Amino acid sequence: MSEQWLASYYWNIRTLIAQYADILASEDTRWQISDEDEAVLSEHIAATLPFKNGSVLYADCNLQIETAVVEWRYVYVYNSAEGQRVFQYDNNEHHPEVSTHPHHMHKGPLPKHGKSEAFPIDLEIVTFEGVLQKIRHEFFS
Amino acid sequence: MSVTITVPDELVEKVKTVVPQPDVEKFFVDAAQKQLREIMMARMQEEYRRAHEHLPRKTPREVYARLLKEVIAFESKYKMSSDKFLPDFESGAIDEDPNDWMAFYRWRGLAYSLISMEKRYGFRRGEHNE
Repeated sequence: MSEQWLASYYWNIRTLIAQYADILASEDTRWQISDEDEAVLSEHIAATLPFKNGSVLYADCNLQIETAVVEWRYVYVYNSAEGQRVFQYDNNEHHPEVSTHPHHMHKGPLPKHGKSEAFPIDLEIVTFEGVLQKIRHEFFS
Repeated sequence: MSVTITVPDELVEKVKTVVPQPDVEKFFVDAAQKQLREIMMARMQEEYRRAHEHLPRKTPREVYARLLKEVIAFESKYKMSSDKFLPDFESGAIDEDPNDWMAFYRWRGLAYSLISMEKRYGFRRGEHNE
């Protein structure tokens, strides 16, 4: 049963990506996403998704089955075509001061010195789907 | 390939009675998109299975061995065991690598996967060639 749930989650993401073909650059040599066997067996999805405007989304999430499949550890980093970070979501526990701890986001380029300031997340739940929707809405609408 | 989704009139009327008018359209668009994705998902899975049916599926041991190889590469590069890295990175005791911002997140994802596979399949590091 657990493998079916994981496979379903994986294929839901793959379908979502297919639905974003109008803005994604799947022919880009940087394009990468875990295959089904790896994702299901290791409960882990890693992806590098370049967009047609040159920007890139780096995604890495570990999956767990609770009442449904959840991304219990994740990071999403969206970089501009120039390689500057635009935003990042992650749930490392290193920002307890943030109201949505451990879930938090970073905005703008990486700091040259010191830590990157963290903010509460602006999504209800951070998921692969939610992040892709945000990118389409904010940068391709 | 186009897909036609039909919505019964009685369902439309039922939704109109409980949902404010401006939200009705959104409700049906969302529902149609969900159904469309399920149809696409089934097609993509079928196409994938057909294209890959002549290839052997990866075994848990193969996937574990690949994960272990990548984890060991990180441990060697940063001269740190994953047992030390995970709590230190999670707590903020060590920051991201400024020269490769995703590296530690990638390591974290692989290391947790390794632990997960060890629990699920009973694999141990020593059993695999490092």
